[in-house]
Amino acid sequence: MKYFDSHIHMLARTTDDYENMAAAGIIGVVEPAFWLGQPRTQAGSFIDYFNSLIGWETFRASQFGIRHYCAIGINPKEVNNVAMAEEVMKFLPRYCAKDNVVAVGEIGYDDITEAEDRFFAEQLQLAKELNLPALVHTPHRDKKTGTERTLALVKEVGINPELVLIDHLNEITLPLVLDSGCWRGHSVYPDSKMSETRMVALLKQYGLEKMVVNSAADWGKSDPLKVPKTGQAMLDAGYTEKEVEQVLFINPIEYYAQSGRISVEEVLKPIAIDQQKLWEENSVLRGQTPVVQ
Amino acid sequence: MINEAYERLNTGLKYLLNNEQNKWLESALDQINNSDDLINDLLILSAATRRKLGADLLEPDVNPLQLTSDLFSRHWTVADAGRVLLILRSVLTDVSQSQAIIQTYFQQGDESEVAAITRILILFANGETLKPYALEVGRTNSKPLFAALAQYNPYPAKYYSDHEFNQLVLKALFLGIGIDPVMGLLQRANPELSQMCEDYIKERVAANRTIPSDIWLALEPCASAEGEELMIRHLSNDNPQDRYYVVKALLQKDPVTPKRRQLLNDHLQVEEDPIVLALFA
Repeated sequence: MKYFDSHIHMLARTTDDYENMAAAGIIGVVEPAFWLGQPRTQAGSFIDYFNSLIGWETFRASQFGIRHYCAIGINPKEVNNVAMAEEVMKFLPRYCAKDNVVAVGEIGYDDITEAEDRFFAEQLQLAKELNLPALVHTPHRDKKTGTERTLALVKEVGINPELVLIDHLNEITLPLVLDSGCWRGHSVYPDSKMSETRMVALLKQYGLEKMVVNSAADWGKSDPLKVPKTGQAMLDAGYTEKEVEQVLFINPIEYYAQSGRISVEEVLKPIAIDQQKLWEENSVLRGQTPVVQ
Repeated sequence: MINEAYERLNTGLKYLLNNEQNKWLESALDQINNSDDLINDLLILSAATRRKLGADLLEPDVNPLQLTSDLFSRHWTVADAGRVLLILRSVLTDVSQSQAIIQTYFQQGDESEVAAITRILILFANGETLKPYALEVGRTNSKPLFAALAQYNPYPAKYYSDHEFNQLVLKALFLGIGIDPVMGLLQRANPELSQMCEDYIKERVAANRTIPSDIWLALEPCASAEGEELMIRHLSNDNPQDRYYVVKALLQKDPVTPKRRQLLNDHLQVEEDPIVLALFA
């Protein structure tokens, strides 16, 4: 089975994770820019972060045979530092133009403030102008209101809803998104957002169309193998391998393929691992024998 | 207000500290008073405060110091109190630097230092202009820091908009921080907050997860008929803590309506838990 994790923060994960993911069948990932668990206090920190995502992290993934793509944006939590967010917005378009950037994201609401409204709208507008997908985070709290306001803003900005994926949905918020034309994202977490069993129940109830599942694994307690684990739960519930691949491999790539910078064919093309390679004179090895395929 | 709070805390704290601690604190306050590099001295002394004074709680429920009419040193540590004294002494020494003192302290303080200054935001002049600091603290996922903002802190109730206040309460529930000590909760309650609590309960139920026992305190004041019914249903829960907060919520508005009085009287006949029963006293 082949899997694609449509939302995972690999910068916060270890090389063991990459090895385990590859062994479990994950051959591609999208890493959206997000909060690092601590506030950044200056715009320059975002330049370094974006550079790491589009360069170093893509290199690290390739060393384990995984194709790594990014979404670039300023997250809802940090746009509340308005002066800093204004600075970041100035260089955001340059990063959105990079080859392996397949979406603007993750953007959306956290506390649903005025500043969040403003920068969410500006970034949706940017996605619309660049004809890029927009990956939208729905808030942990007041999720229903956050989702309703997201859908209203998508309409107001006038971005094609097909370009929008609304993520971290649950039993209450998924039904709100069904008729919107937007893609439907779900993050399967240990002990919180969504479990494999609950995810399978949603697939049974609402079908497979435009349904996307990810691990959203980051620096917190999370599990980068939740996509293959959901695949197993789907098989156990009677889905065929083809159906599992549709949801957990084809759907997310087709969504991001609207950027014109990723395709199912490309992701399927194996990467020849060459651990002799360096990135800015740095390697993922610590004296081990390099794997070369 | 700063002067009054400073004097009360300084006097009160003397009785709680031993000789050596008092000596260090006195000399630190003197150093600030005579400083020609105020912010730098404050930050260095503040960083050492926990090592010098310790982090024991100031007898939280027995005898919290009342610093102003609405600010008590509830749930403060000795280090919090020491740091608060240093901050207030700095502002009193040179009021023209107070904005810079507050800004640098928030920016360069560690988590426990940021918690200490958060607890006393209410004391500073131009309280409204300090809201960005409070909101930034509210973005943390650290429970002790968030609790310093949400619990026993009069600042949010006084300066937050309804929306900001509601988000604070909801995040406390989300993080598992008790909302009973959120100051001004009943006065600031509004229909949107009740609705947010009802939505949150629906989400938790759909995910097969537990509901925070104390959520009724925020939901009750403007509950919809559905919310009210849900709350009353929880009066028959097995967990006494669940029943405690439902009873407390039903009693929190004065006067209690006849319908609720009847409901509570009926419940009184079957309630056996002494802590819940004490609410009826």
